[in-house]
Amino acid sequence: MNIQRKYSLPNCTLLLEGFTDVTKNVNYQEFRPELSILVNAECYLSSYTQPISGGREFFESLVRAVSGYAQEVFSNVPNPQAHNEDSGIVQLQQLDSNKHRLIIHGEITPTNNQSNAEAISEIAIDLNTVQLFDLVEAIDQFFADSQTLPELSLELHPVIRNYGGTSELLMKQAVPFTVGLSTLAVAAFAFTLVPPPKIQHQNVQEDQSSTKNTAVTPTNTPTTSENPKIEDLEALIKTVPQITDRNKIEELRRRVYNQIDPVWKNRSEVTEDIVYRLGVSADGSIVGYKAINQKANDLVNQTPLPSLLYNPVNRVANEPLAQFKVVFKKEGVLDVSSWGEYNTQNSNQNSNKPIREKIKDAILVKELQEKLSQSIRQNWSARPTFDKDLKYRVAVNKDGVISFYEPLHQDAFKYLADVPLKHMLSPANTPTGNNKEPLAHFKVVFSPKGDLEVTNWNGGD
Amino acid sequence: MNVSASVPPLNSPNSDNIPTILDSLPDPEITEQLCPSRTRTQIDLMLLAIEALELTGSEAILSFAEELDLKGIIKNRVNLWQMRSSNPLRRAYIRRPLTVLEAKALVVITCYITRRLTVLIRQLLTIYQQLAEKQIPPEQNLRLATYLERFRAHFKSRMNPRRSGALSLTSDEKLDELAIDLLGKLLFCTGTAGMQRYWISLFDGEVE
Repeated sequence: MNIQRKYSLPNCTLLLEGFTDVTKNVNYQEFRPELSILVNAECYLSSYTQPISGGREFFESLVRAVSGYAQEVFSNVPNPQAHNEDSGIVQLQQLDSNKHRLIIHGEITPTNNQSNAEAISEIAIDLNTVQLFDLVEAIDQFFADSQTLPELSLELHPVIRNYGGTSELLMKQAVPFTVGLSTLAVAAFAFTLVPPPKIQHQNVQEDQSSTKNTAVTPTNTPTTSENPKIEDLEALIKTVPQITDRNKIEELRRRVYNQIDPVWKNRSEVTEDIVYRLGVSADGSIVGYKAINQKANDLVNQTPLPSLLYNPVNRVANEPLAQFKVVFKKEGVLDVSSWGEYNTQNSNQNSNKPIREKIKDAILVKELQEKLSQSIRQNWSARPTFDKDLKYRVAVNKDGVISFYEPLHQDAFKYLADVPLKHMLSPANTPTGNNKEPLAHFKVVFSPKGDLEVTNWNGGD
Repeated sequence: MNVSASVPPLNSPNSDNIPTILDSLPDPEITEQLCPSRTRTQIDLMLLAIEALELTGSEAILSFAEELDLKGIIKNRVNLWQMRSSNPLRRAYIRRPLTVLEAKALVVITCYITRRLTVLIRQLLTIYQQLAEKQIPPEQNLRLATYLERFRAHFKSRMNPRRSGALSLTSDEKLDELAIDLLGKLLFCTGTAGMQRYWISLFDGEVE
């Protein structure tokens, strides 16, 4: 059933077309059924001859940018939502107190179906304050309509104190009309902030676009059709504060590991290392990821990342983020590290050091090594069922309590239940603890014959 | 006939004296729930613009306080004057804090008054736009000129020139610019979510 919703103001008409999600809505006989799958959004502005239109990604970007800018009109404090320069499809800029420029990158289908190169364009529409208000009001009426995309609701937050200065700089750097092509090319490369919609959505979208040439963005690259909700993680990272506390980062690193590792199923599908860059909020939620190599882009659905993403619609604006490099290794082992450690451009004096301090006292390390060896032996009662050596990296605190461990290859992961490490992990040392104490790192090898080897870890995993 | 027992509402534990009309405005994360100076200035200037739009503006504020059941917060004329004098730009600036509750009440009233003035505000902004496009000075239009003139007069009589000078509000042109800027903000107050948007924006850059 095709549903249309229209929000009409003197200078702006917003027209949404979509469907009811029958799997979600049981009582679709109701008088005004819920529009839950957006197929096409059109916005008619009195100062522009044609409607601007696009799919859900365009519409979300539009409502976010306009909503953020409306707040900026009130306070004159730059709002990060309005100036998402690198990848936001829609941006707004103030030209003077009564003139506002709406910029739409790519993602628009000109009404006469042109070639792709021409379609990737940029449109700038100047609005006066009354016209801008009508656009804001149309969007607010949409927000207030609980029967149309109810998951998109008005979320207002004050801009945090630090944002002002940096954004002024960003605004100065903004040169309209030069960003176009390259931005789109980057954006198309799977920057994802929202789980890919169900297959059903995609079919609906594709059907629609084939019958109606003005409807949906030409999703020419396979990557975009796989991940219709694409946003630039880097742009997001730029506009929000970074989490810099190294202990916090280490805590989050382990949380990320613990989120992904248990739910990574198809380990054998990964035939070469695939690498992602993740944005993670202070509560450990994965708010965005970006495929770093092509294979990572192709195999994203083999990883648990899409299902672990936290829906940004409900996200707090300006939430600080930490970035991580996540490698799904071909050996079936997961590796999570702080992004800064690998990003040589950002390398500072600490970049190659472990985040948590190492125990330096050689005598203590020796003691801990023996202690660890003993306690593993005591706890290791099962007869080995594996036929290859199992290798792990294990970190202990000064009391010899295991703080974390990492399997170093696929078998080590597979036979984790056969070795006692899991049970020996101190619950107090799980990632929630704000632990600053230094650790000693060891390589632990279990052999099929029942031998145990604990040696000093000398890096280089 | 509505039969109702006098059971206090379950979901509002602090319903002692706080009018429900303020519920839609969340408490900002600021210290001691006292408004920062930019917030105080902005609230007062928006009311000043309303007074420039209609001569009975200050009366309207008080009558709306009554109508919206906010008399518990804005008690009388003196009380209102004291709240507005928490704007550091004022000649009569008194070092009196403005509580979040008082600010909410003033914001709600501002938005209710502007809704009534929607047509006038839209017209004035449209006229301003049209004149600007033809590069005709705004004084050429009587209604717009009246608004700008009144705003300048109110501003000059009530604001401390030394303090407003610090914000480079020295010339008539600058004051006209401010008046138009405030007019645009008043228009945004008239919208469906205008009250929430205005309220949240008052704390932009003030929260950590």
